[in-house]
Amino acid sequence: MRAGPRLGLIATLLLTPALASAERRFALVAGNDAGGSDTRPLLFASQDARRFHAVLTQLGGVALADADLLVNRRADELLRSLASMESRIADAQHRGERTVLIVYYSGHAKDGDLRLGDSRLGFSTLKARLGAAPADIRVGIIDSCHSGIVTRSKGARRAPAFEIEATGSQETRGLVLLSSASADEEAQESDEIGGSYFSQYLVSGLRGDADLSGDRRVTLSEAYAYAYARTVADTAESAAGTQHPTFSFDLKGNADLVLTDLTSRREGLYVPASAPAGTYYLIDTSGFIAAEVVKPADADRHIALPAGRYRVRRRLADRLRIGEFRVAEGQFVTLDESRLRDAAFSDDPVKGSRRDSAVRLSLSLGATVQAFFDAPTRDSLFPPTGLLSAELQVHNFFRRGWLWALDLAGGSAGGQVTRLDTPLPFRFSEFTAGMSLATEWPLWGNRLVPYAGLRLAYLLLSRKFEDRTFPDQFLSTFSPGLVAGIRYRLSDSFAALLRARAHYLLYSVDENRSLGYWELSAGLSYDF
Amino acid sequence: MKHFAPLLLATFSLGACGNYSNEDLDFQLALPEDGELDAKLPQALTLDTSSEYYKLTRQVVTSFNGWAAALVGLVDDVRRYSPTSRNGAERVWGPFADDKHPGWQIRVVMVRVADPNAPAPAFQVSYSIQLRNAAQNGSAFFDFMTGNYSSSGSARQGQGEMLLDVKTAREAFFPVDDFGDLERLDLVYDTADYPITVHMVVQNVATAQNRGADYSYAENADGSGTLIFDLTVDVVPGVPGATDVTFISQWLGSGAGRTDAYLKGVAVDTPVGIDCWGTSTVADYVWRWNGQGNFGSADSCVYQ
Repeated sequence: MRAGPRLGLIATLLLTPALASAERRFALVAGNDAGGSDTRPLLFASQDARRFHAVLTQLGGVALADADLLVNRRADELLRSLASMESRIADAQHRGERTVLIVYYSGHAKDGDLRLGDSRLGFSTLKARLGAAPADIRVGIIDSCHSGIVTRSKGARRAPAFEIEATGSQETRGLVLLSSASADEEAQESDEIGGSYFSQYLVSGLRGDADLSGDRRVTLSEAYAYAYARTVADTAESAAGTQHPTFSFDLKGNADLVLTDLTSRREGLYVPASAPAGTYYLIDTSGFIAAEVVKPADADRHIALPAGRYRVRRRLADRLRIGEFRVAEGQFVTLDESRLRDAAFSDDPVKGSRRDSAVRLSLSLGATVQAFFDAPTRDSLFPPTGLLSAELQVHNFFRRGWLWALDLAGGSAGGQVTRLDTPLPFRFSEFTAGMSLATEWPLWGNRLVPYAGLRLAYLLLSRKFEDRTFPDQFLSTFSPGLVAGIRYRLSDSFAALLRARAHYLLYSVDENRSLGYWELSAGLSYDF
Repeated sequence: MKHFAPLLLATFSLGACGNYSNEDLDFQLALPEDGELDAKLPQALTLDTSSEYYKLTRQVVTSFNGWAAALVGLVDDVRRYSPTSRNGAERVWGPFADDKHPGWQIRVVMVRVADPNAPAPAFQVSYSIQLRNAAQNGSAFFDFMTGNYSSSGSARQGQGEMLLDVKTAREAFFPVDDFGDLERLDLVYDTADYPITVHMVVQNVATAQNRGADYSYAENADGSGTLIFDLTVDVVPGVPGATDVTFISQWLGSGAGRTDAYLKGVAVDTPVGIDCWGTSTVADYVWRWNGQGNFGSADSCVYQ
């Protein structure tokens, strides 16, 4: 699990960074929100992986063909992908290419294992695989709880920065391991920044904000120092306690490792030295914080960003300064303070990211039985009916722990009404569409999730009489109600669903009558 | 809080619409169906050799059923469509534009009549088909057909009346060519139990040669029945001074039957003819007051 923030110390490195021209880089990037039945699903682990994958392929010199992105995949799949990558690395080395392997993981970890859904991968196993991998330089970055275990060895440090000593003239070789937290700490996520602290700051740093040397290249040590400082600062006052990233390395060579090269990307945002000092949040169109810029006074910043439209936010004591800018292909756009406007805190554009980043979808199919409480109504007006139902559930859309669901159902049943001593058999049909808003209470590590809330349904009820001299009848109406259910997780993707609803229906054709009906459903849901 | 409940009701009423109603079924069940008021002669065919009075009875039955079908047909749409509006005990269909008669509107109003003495499932209803000349400003609806029905507890088992007022429609310049010389048609029926009875009075305009007819029909559970009909015919066309003739036809479920004809008099009716026929509808016995064509024995008649 990951847990919140404080300020630490940053030590900068002043090495001579180098990116060998014949170097080929490989990256295996994995993120998994689930960690098995005894853990609560993470909100941003898969998103962290996507962002790290993006920054490596955009700025890190990793070709798309050499970058594997594994989202919510199992441990055996990760190991297979790693084996495949090692094979390709070996081939590249046989061709005389210098190689770098970067392995990134964001997700759960517990009891010495990485948790990839229901599967596990030991820290020690991963570390051994990295140690034995054929690449010249191997970088392991683990963003998970207790991930400091992976760096716990001779030379492991819980420190704000590390320094790679230039030794001789040979090219740099060896293993570097970074962890987001110490061996006894939780790694924390933040709704505010829409990701885990460590990964979010690592990505922001790699996009340019960590480039303290100003050479428009971000080295491994610069990125680590930046992420360390921001993570410690932001988690210092969190309930889970301060989170301290750690590192260990066994590198020999003549230079630090350049992770991202901003000169290879010709578009982004340029924050001039004249811009006010402070922290700028750059938010993409999907609401995620694409990068943060900690701008000192009288210093400029280059932040590499993919072409597109962005919003920028800077927080002052009493208000926000917000604005928009567009990054065109091959162009660094200069941030113009005069084009930002004042805004209240309630207009904070980052709220969108908080909502969007938490979204998780699931689709359920099931069978429903519906009946009205009132016996005369049940016997002669709306008979008990079986329905087939489908429901799209959007988790954490409005806020974390809230469930927003859209459902459709349809079914039919036979019925009979007797009027003036005359039995009139009919075929009753029903179509419903509903929207629910409920609160979820995950139990037993998210294996069992009860929920309860409100629902508004649209009902189209109709009947056809066997005696076709009578016209078809229908009723179209809205119906408010209550919903409660239990979702029991069967696997990473599937869950069994039991649900009960009670609804109010105002019948107003012959006269105004308040009716009520109940529904019981059982189904199977699939999480996307 | 006391304003909340009505507000909630109003909110959910706004989105509600439809015709899903059990009470509508009561109104629709109260109306007679096509064929329900027909006179039923057991045989379907008339032969050249059939008895003269049997043939006459058959013709009258056809005419009788035609008038009944015309009346029932007018309310047929009420059964096939749901009401346009509901107001407590009242149901209204329309008003609709009368496609056949441009400028005219038609509507049907049915009202449930409360009867505190009626048993629980009993149902009493009155109804009317109304016309209005929409082309005339301020023109009001008038009754073209009225009716009422009292259920005995079951659908279409009860007493009812129907009146077709062609005279009023003609005076309002509603095109009534389809009705010929008809001025008024009254129909009273009782389907509550056997014998089912239907009494129909056809009244034509005064200038018509045939100024009308009176039919009384009774149907028994075993298929036997009686049809009494008066024909009023001017002896001299166009000159009032009609001769009234009453025919009494009776038949068994097997089809064999008898017709007696009477010339209506001031004090007593005078028998003028008798036909008795068997199941083949061919006469077994014929008697005429003037002796022409008489044959057979009255003992062969199924009714003595």
